[in-house]
Amino acid sequence: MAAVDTLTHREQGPAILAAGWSRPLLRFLAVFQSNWLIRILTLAVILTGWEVFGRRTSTVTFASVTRTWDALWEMTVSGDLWKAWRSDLAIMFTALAISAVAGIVLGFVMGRYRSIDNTVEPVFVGVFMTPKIALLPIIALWLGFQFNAKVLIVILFSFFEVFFTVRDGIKVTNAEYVDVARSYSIPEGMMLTKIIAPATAPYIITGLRLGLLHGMVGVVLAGFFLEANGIGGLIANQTNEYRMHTTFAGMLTVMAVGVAINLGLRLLERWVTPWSTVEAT
Amino acid sequence: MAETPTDGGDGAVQSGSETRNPFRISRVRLLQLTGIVAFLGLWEVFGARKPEWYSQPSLTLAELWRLLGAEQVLPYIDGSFPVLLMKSMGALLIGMVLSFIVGVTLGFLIGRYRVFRVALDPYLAAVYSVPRVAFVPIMVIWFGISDNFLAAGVEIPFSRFVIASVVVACSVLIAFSTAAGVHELMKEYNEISYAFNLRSGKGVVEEWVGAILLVVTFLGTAAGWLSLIQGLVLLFGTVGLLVARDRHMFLKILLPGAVPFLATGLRIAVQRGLIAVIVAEFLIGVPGLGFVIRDARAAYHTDRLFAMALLLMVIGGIMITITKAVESRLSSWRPRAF
Repeated sequence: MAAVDTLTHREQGPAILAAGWSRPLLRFLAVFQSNWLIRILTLAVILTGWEVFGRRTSTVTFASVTRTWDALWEMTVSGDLWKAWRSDLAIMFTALAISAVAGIVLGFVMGRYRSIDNTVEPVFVGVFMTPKIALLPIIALWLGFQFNAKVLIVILFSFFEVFFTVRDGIKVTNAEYVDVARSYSIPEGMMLTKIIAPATAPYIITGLRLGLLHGMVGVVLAGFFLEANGIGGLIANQTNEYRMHTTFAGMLTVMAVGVAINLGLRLLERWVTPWSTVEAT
Repeated sequence: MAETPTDGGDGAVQSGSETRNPFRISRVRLLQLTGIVAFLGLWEVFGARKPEWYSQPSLTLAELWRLLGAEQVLPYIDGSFPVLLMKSMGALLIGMVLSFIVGVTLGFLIGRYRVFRVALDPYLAAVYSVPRVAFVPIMVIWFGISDNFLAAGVEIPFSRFVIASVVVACSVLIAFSTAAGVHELMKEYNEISYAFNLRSGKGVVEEWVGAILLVVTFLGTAAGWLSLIQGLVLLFGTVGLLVARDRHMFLKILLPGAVPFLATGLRIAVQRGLIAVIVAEFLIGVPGLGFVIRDARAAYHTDRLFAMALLLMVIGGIMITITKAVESRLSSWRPRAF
């Protein structure tokens, strides 16, 4: 029976039956192989551990599941949560629109024309590698503490993700296709729409996903440092007042938005470009 | 004249330009240099109008020189520049070691056993999607803002918060990298390892026993029945048990095979770790490089801000070079397409 272990899960069933084991046993074993059972059990374990630990510790440093859930419910009902996210969403929308357009356009230009890329790349990489926290005070100096500064920060966080991903995507366009196109002397515009754009589509979507995720980091960070009316400000304020349940609730919403962005854009990627094999962290 | 295309070092084929170019400098490098020089020139010119706001390359470099040589960088913090540098780098090192341990353990469990992968992967992905900054306020409450801490009677001169920041930033990354590597290896060597008797089965029993033990450890520590030390002992004991059951496969296939993936994960993690250290020091105000930035911000000392940014770029560049070299050395046996 040891040999059964090397079979895939699909093949194990018939093998077990053939070896003389009974169907009920097979069904019992099959349940344990189910992914959903494992996921539900893990969720139960995590929630239990969290609740148990929460009850044991002071409410000043930690909040249990029930308290967090209550806080979440209360903040949703009173509208505080939406108020916090609303200002952030406006910032993110503006900044990401600019980042996406600039990132895609510049990515195309620099991916296509290597000389421009070589000239400008060192500067971009230099700015990208600077810990942006060092630039925050300078941005506050230049643009103040409100909308404009926050938008610039989010642009800084998201633009480079979009730009680098798109540019690298263009660079790996299959050279054979481009050679065939050149031998037919097709105009540049047609090369763009027929060859480069479809090949780069998965990279564009991945770039947008990364840009969105990093943009969210920027928005929360901006909420900590600049005007505190967004979700970052909510988390910072609630922590300053040692109200852990609302802090946890706020963090959970950030987590949920992050996961939603990730899932949503991955699904979009599957839908638009099912052949894509681009994988980026 | 017969033109022999030569590779300019970046894959850019240059026909004959090597023979015509008196400086033997490749076209790519020339363009890169031009871009940097142009940027610096523009910055110098535009910065002259209001140097307190925009600073200038000349001022920045002068300030950097001054910082590096200063006896005491800041009037109320003891320590010349190398001392502050050591503080930051030390915290980074400790944090990286800790996140390595956590990350590799998690990664190994997730990659090797299906149960752990199905159970833990969604949560790791969720934690990874959260901007680390959202954890900061809570970490301030949990880890405190002091500059040193006691561990088993020994005073360690680094901030717990900074180290925790590094761990939060890096361990998930290393875990993902290791998990991907181990998973790939499992797929490739699955049947071979069974055929060569390196293991006796797929490990279904092992993974469930391990899972139950870990659940007990987790709940026990959470509920307070087990102290933290006991919990950790039980955790590593279980992992050790799982490894020991499979030790041939582990030692001969998984460990050597996962090294390149570990190296890649380490490379990316080191960069994140450096940023995490600076951000953490900036936020709390413990002595270190990040603190210099924070102080410069409060004083609107733009020269110093840019000087620090430049310095961090250089440090980051050095780290990237070192870790890239380590990575390619350790991955030398892997067949590469490009």
